[in-house]
Amino acid sequence: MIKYIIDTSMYFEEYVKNYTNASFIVGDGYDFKDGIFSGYNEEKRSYDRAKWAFKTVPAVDAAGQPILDPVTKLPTTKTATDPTLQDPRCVFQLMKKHYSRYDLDTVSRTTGTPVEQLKQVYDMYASTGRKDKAGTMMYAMGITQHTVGSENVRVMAMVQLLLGNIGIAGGGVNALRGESNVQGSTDFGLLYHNTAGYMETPTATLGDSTWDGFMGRITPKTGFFSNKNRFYVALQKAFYGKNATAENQWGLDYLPKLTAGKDYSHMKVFEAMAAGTIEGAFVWGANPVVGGPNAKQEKSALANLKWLVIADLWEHETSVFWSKEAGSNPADIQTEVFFLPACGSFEKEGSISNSGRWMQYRWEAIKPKGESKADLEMLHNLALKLKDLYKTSSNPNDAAINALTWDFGGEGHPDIDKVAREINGYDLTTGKLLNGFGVMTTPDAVLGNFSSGNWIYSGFYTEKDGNKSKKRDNVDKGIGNFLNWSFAWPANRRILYNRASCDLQGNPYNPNKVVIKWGGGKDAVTGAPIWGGNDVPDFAPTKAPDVADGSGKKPFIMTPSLVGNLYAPMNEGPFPEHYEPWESPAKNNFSSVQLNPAVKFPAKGFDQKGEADTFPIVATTYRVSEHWQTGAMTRNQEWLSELVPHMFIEISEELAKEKGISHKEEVIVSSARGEIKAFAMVTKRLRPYTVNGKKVHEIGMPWQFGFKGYAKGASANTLTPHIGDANTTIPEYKAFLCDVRRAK
Amino acid sequence: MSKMSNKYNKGQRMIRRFGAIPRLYHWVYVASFAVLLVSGLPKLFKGDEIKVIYNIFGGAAGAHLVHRIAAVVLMVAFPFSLAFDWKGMKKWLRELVDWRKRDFAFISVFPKEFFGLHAEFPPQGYLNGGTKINSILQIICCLGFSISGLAMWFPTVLPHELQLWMYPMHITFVCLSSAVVMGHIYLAALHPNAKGGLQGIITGYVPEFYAREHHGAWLDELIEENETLPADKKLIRSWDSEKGKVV
Amino acid sequence: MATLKYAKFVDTTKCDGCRACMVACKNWNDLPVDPKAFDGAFNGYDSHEKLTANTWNIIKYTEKTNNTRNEGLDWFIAHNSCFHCGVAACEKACPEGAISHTEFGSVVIDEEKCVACGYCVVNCTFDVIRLGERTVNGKKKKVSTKCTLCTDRLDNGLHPACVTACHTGSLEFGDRAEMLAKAEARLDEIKDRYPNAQIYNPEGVGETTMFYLLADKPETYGLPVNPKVPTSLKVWKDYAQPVGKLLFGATTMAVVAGVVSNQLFNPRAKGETHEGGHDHE
Repeated sequence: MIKYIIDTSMYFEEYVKNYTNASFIVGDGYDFKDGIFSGYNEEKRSYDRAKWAFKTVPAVDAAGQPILDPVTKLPTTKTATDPTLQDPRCVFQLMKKHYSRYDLDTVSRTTGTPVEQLKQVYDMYASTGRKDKAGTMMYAMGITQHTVGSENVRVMAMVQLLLGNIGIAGGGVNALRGESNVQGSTDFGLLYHNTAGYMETPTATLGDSTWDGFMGRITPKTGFFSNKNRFYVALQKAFYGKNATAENQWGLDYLPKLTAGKDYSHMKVFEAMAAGTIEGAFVWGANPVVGGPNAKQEKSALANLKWLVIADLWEHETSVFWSKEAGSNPADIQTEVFFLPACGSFEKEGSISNSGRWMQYRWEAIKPKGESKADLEMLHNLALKLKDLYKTSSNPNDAAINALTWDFGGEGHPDIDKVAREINGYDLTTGKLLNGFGVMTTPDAVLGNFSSGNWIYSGFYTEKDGNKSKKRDNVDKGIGNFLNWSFAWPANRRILYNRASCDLQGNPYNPNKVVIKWGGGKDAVTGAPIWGGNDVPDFAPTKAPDVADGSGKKPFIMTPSLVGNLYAPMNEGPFPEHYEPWESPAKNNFSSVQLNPAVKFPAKGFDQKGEADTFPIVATTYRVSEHWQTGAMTRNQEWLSELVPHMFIEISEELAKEKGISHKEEVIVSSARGEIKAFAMVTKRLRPYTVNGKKVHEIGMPWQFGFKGYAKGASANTLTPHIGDANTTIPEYKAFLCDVRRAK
Repeated sequence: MSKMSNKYNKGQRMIRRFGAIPRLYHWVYVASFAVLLVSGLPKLFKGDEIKVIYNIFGGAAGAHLVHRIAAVVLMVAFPFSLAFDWKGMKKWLRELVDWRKRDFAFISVFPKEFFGLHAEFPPQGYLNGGTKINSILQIICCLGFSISGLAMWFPTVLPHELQLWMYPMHITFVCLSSAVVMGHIYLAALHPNAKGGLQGIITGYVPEFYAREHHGAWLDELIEENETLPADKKLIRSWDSEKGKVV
Repeated sequence: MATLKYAKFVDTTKCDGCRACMVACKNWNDLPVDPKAFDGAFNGYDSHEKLTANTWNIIKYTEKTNNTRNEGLDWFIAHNSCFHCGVAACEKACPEGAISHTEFGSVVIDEEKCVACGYCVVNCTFDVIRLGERTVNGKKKKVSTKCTLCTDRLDNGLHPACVTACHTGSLEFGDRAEMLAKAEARLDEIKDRYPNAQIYNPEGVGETTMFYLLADKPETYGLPVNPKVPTSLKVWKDYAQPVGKLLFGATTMAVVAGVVSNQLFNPRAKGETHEGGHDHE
């Protein structure tokens, strides 16, 4: 589609030129040959991304004099650009060249989508590259659960930037979350390489051993995240209170450290369990025996644990992985399993953040049943217990636990309002709640005077308005923005980068769908024009479009360059490139490199790989609306269970005929990892497609079944491979090879 | 039955009319028909008053059960009768298809007879025109409400379109048969001219005067036949008013 | 015929088949799962083959090929439950007076009056009613069951549970004229895409409180093309039953007349004896 948009000149030229890095000149180190970018280390399966840096030129002022660094007094540099986009080394031209190979015929041969349909889709979508049109892209796991998942998302972002569809009403790249609070959990540092507010976790390296060294590594020099140091100190103050000081590096030593370059994601954790390097685990609201890739191997890995704590609503497959019904021999398994009964979301109080980043408060509807408890209560009591256990210890390893402030009340349910306030943060000099993170970024703000448990949420709980996530004002404030319904981070902005909805002068591209505009508001004191409109500006409100340094024309405030990245260093390269899945019946048409070269292979024991000659059928997995995630909750609910009571595969009429399979008949699906039984749902909705001139069959199946609950069935993840994306390590659940045969 | 003992003069000639099985069949039919009619009656009216009938059976479910039990009894009684008294039942059925001038002559004066006016008709056979019509109608109705009733009991057996017609069919035959039954009870038991007839279906014997009046032709044949029979098989006996029974 | 003032409008073109309506129905009406649900019988995408005594609404999924659009394939999805006919065959067939129309146009079964005879089950125009066990006055009782249009919710100013649960706007409840106008407007919108689209609000049953906007012909959805109150039902209730009762009545009258007439004209009724015999009354 990128090639089509460029070839037909359907891109939004003004937007591309000014609001993206299309004009940036790429340095000489960048190259691309036969599926591999420059800087590749085949042994490590990784790139030296320094090779892809932009070309820099000395920075000069209007008079042609070099601009000196205010501290070092040395001449500074800036990225070279060609605003005409004609330089062959500018991002736009390199992009055009890179995607010139993606002609309709080759894409059609690769995807199986007929040329005519490709054209129809491309044409329709590219037509939104106009001032008065908007196009939105919504995606879910069908995009991300691939060895090229991040690249898939990147491509969508690039298309949206080319068409000027980011920052406008009805635009964006919108993740449809697979779980109701995925947004909230990643916001709060669920991912191993992030802490709260998308700030990096320190590594056990010399560089990260000092606060300045660590900050120097993770803080960009330009863009809003140049304030990262300030937010991180506020986070440390929230964690450790008085125990985090400038003298003790803001408590850096208390933080757990990652081994640099090591992967701590789901698959690697299970590989480490299998290798015996992890002895105990908390499985909290997860069910990997059903939901993990290559689930049979993951189940075996659990048996290597000395102890396992499960916190869940139901006794699910993972909690009884050792049992006969799980196919295990209990006598062989020494793992001690603890089960903490958790209550449902409707039995507890707290917030959930949706894909639009709205933090919405929820109240307890009914009391928890039996001995079940809220996650927060379990965690709180665990923390209290740990602090009590180590309170007299002088072992430096235990200092982190002793230094932690934990003043949410005694045993039982913690004071959730205190937790909420701590997330928002305080001015520690006055003890008052912060009105937002802005106050921390002013030039005269003193480090250590603020605390904030998550800077991006700062401002959701103020002295004046209280907890804004509880707001329920159902009034449209224009263009469908309900600004007084809950709170959206950051600063209640509903559309990120909304400065991009206006031209260079600050006038809306689409006057009928004003998000913000220059002069849309007035300074409360001076009455001077500021940014304003139907949304909270994602921009310094008083920064005029024509400020001298040009930053008034750059909407993408979170990127160091302040513009959208058409060219961005991902683990597998600065431009997304097509690679086939790990298991594929097709040869890559775009290079001799079959698999994403930055993808890491599974450990031994998890690395069973199927080839197309034995497993010629493409398989994919998905959920059904009647079952939630691994089904632990829904398969224990009779009304939902009866709606989809049996494991099935969807299979085309053509494949059914070839295999002699009839509708509703039992079949066996096999992959290199194992085989499962399922009913065949013969449907017209699946059809074979033609890849490289050859007919390829595909089957689909839901993955939420297991051996517990009312609705029982084989787990599809018995079949899926233990390999994932090169950036996120999200497993490749969505594409693998299998075979199908009749059960009888 | 003290009154019975004095019913006729001593020596009144009594004519053998019905065998044991046909008489049993008749009364089983009467009983099951009555039960069916009562237990089904609440279905014909929507008023609360009529629904009280359900209480007799301990509720609607009980009424349904009794209705079905009675239906089974009514339906199996006929084949049982055929099996146990093929000859007797055959005689009856054969009569029904044997239509002669005298039968039509009887029917033509039937209204006069019904209302007790003076009616002249030729001597009748074993069954007269009226009783033939009664039997034929009852057989048709019985088949009709039995088939439709069975279909209503097992509503998914027949094709749906056909099944739908079973309901009007049932009600039609039930009403028709009930009307026929009403007329039959009147003519056979309540009508002044029927004196002696009821006894026939109870004891198997009717007084000769009754046979003469209602089935003259048959009586003549029977007297002739009786001559040829041995003493212990005689069809004509006499009334013992002391004992109150046919001897 | 009931005057219909309200309507439950089912816009099949907006249904995404999530089946939340089914769960909401069971939840509100406290209906158990179907015992057959887990017996290993696989119904394809449909969860239930038909409505059951415990399942008062279902979603039906139909795949149909065409040669013009959507890559030649349509997947028609439709919510299915009681239509609440203006002229309800079930109401007519019921011998107990247990079925009636409410002010909302819903056709409801009085479980206390119902005797589970099943006449409504057979005579229902749309094969909706089932016999099943329900708790009536604290006791288990076999009765006819079906969608009530959540009349108990309507009574309290709420919409039917299925309508409230519907997240796409495929199900709506409201003023009948408004709903019909909405359907007409929507039909205009979708005609190009679905040339066979039509409003299904059959006159043969006096229109229905639940009416459809179908994206294709009724046959595609397994709906009768021209549904009517069965002729047999009219014959039964309007002719056979009254005429039958009349016949019985007439016979009775004739017998009474006969008794009177015999008293008047038959000498034997006045105690005169038969020839050859006499009684002692």
